Amino acid sequence: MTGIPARRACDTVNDIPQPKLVLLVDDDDDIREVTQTSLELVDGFRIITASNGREAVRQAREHHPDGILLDMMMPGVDGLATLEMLNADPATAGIKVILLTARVDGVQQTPTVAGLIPKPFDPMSLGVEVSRMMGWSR
Amino acid sequence: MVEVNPGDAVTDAYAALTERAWVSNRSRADELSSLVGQWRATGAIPADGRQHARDIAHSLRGSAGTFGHHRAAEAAESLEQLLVDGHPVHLDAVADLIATIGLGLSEPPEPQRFTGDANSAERAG
Repeated sequence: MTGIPARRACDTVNDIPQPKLVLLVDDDDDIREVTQTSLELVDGFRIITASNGREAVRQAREHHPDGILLDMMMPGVDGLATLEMLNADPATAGIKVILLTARVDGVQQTPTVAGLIPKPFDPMSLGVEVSRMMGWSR
Repeated sequence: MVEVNPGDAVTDAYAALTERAWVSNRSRADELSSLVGQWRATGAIPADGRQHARDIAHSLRGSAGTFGHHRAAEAAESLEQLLVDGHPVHLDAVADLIATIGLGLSEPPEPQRFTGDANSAERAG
C-alpha cells in the first residue's frame, strides 16, 4: 500500500479518465432530482445524494467523493454546520465543496470552498460551472 | 438497436420533474394563503408562523426559479425578505405577493433547453 487515497486511484483506470464522483446535498426533492439527472446525463458525473447535513457527512465519509455540492439552507443541520463537520473530520476535510445558496452572508471562505453558485440555478448548465470551479478538465 | 440521445432523456426527465415541482409549489402557495388567512382571523402573526412562512417562501423561490417560473420566484424572494424578523408586516402586502406567486405559477415555465452535446457525458473527468 502506498497510502494513496482510494478516490485518486479511481481517477484513472488504465490511463482512461473516470467520471468524477459528486455528492449532491439538497433537501428539496425536485431540485435534487433534476440536478442529479442533468449532472449524470448531460455532464457524465457519477452522483450520490443526501437530503440533509447528517446524511451528507455520512455519505462523504463512506464514499469520499471528488466534490460536494452543498445547499446552504436546510432544516436541522444546515449547510454551514455541515461544512464545519466536513472540515473537522480528517477523512472529509480535503474534499472540495461548492455552496448552493441564495444568501452569501455568513458564508466563510475556507480552503475547501471552491465557489458559490447562487440559487436558483439553471440545472442544464450547472455541470459546466461545477467543472470550472472545481478545476476539473473537460 | 435504438440510439438514445442524452438530450432527449434529459428533456423528458426535466419535463416530468417540472410538472412535479409545479404541484409542490402550488401546494406551498396554498399553504401561504392559509397562513395569512389565519393571521387575519386572529389579528396576530406568531413568531413561529412567520418563520415557517419565510421557510416556505425560500423553498418556493429556489424551486420556482430552478423550474422556470421566474415571476413566482421573484415574488417569493420579496415575500421572504418581507418576513424577516423585526420588520413590520402588512398583511395586504403579503397577500399581494402570494397572489403574484399564484399568477406566476399559472404561467407556462420558461423552457430550459438541453445545450450540451451527446458526447459530453463521455468526456467528463
